[in-house]
Amino acid sequence: MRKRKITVGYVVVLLFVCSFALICLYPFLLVISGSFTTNAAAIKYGFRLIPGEFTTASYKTLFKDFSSIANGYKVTVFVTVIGTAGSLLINSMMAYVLSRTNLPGRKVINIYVLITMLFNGGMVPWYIVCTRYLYLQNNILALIIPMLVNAWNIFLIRNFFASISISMYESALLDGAGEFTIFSKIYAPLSKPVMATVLLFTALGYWNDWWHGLMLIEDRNMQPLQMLLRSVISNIQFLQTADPSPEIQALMASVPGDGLKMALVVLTTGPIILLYPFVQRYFVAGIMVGGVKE
Amino acid sequence: MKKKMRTASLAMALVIACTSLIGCGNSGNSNTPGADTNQSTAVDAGNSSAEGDGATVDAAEELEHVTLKFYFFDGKKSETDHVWEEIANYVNEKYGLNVSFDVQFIAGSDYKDKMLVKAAAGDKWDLCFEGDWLSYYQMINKDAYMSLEDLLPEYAPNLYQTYLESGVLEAAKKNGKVVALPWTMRMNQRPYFQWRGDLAEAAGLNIDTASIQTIEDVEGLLVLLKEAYPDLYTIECSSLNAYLLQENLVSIGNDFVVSLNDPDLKAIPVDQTDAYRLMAEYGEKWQKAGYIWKDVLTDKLDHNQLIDQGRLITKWGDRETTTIQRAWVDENAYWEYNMLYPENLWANRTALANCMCIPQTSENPERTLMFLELLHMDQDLYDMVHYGIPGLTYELNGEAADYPEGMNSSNSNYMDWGGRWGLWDSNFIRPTGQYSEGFWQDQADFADSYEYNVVSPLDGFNFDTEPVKTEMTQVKQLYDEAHKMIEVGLAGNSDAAVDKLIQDRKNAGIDKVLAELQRQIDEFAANK
Repeated sequence: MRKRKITVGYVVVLLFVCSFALICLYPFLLVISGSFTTNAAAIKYGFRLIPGEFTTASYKTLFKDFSSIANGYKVTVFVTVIGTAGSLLINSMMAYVLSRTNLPGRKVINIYVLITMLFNGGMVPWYIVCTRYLYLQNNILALIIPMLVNAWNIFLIRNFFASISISMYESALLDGAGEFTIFSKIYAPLSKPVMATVLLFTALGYWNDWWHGLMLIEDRNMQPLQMLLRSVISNIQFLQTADPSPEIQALMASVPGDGLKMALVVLTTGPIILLYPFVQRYFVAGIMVGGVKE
Repeated sequence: MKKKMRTASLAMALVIACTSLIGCGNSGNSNTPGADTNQSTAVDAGNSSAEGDGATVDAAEELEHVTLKFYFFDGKKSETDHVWEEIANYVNEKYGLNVSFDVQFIAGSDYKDKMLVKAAAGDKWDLCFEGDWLSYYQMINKDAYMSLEDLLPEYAPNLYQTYLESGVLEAAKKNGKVVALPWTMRMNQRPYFQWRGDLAEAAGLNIDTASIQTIEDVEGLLVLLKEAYPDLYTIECSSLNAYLLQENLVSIGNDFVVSLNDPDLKAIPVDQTDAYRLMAEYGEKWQKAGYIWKDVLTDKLDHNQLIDQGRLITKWGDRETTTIQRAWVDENAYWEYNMLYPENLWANRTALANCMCIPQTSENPERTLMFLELLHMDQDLYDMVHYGIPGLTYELNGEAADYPEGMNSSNSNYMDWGGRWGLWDSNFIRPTGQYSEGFWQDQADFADSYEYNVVSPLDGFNFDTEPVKTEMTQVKQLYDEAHKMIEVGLAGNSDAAVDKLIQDRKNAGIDKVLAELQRQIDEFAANK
């Protein structure tokens, strides 16, 4: 490794970046430590980096109802993997098409895609389309299909494709390659950074989604993991709104304590955080390796 | 080469089209034809009245199998499906009802949202839990619930009779037609003031509980408590209800009130009342004195938790909250409490506080009503629906239904399920951990016989805001924003703040809203 000259500037920047990283890390550590704290200690000392009184009781309670957590994981992992792969494929293919300058009706199609990003028909029409026309109710595709196409990602990838030198496209055409070959063998491999970005955000979107589980799924075995957390949060939210009835207040007396909530958060967000290190290298890697020599 | 690519892309397009069509499976919503068991309608001699009077089912006729879809509140507990399977077996064997149940639960604020979307999209279900604090009024404004005017007396005659006797059906009407099945429990939530009796005792404060009747008395109490416990939160706000009580006013929703002494039922915007001004004044005073803490609006603390933890030591309550069990952290904690303004009028709780509704899209309202009739007549069925299966989900101890050993409300496998409140029946209800022996009788007696508890003249009235939608949105927003601050004394000079609120709302068109409201009230009163 090349020896780097250690300047003052380098040290300052390093310190700044490290402290920023710690600030970002701090809430995560609090949540993890909170999940190992007893309720009594949480009341007395609040949340701290080291739990006041250590206990694994929250996790024990959660794992008692393990089948629903296991089910949630199964569903969410399946949906995330298939959904991300499908979404990446469809969005990038659309972006490729839109980046071709020789596409007839290109402007119209672009505007059409843009409009979907600006506004939509509302919740009820969306629900009617999903349930009545696409029959997306109580099956696993209901969790995948509604989020497959995303105008924002399409434009992101399209702009990246457009920035790839046209000479690549032309030379490939001259060599007799078809559009799909050009897309898959030339454009896609060159777009690792943008694909990694889109992959990350899509995967996050699928992993965190509870909305489709709430609106379109009623079978408990098909509920995604986030629905577990959502029920708890929805109840708490409801209690904080104006005037819940005394019956609801009595119901809320059995709302889980903070330790349990934190444990649930750890279980539902833990795995997706592990995705980051895997895609990180694509952001850092250089682009246009061995590209065109102008 | 090009041809190959074209066929490949065509194939891919086909695959994508096919995957989206795979969704054409069970919609899960429609009625399953099921095995056509040729069960004759075995009507139990002892319960023949439960099957309806002749017109519905006669011995020769067989009921087609249907699946009834119900929606209840909060999360689904682990044994719910099992229990409802047993319930289906019971009603099928004993009464030949020939049903299966599909019972779904939706939690918290999502309940209202999802049910409104389902109603707007025309989804089918058979029965759902409702309440005036949920989406009931929004739903009936959209005509989402079926009129039960003709069906109720025919398919649930005994239930209908009970309703007639208790007079609750009036509140459940829209345009003269019954659209809800109200609960029959009676209670009155007139304001009580509660404070930590053990803390008062420990500090040597000799408080004569019965003497705490007015706001001034409450203030005196706050002074003592703050002095004795300066580090604890004394009170959370200056509660409007106490001041409304003082003036015999009843809230009719949308921030309007009516005087219970006024035969003309004139509506008044709440901010224009003297009660509101007084509330604001005390809010400001208590904030300045430190009884209401400064960060109350921003700290996002759960006040219920604060009370359990012993950090907040008073509460504005009612007859129920004074006696209900709490998850006190301190074992010696208990409430002292007293009724405020005992000789002022307060309206009983609306019959629509918890109710059940059948949507317009239901395909089996008759069967649903037959089931509810059975529930009204059969204690065993009632026990199964509310408490579950003996040994598995509850234990019968004398009259009481208790949790099995080692279970409580936080890990219940069936009991204390949300939405059962709409199906409560004062004849069959058992004491449980949450509502002890005699609790409901006490509540009903209090509501019925306490001299100053009255039935609201506008029970069941709902203000249809459609004609004044824009003005209503504006005035409501103004009120919500200002009231939040005024209630806790953070709006500066209280008089000025209230004057400003009144003026702002006038500028936003509250007079127009008021005129429309009064018109609807007069119409409602004339049609009663």
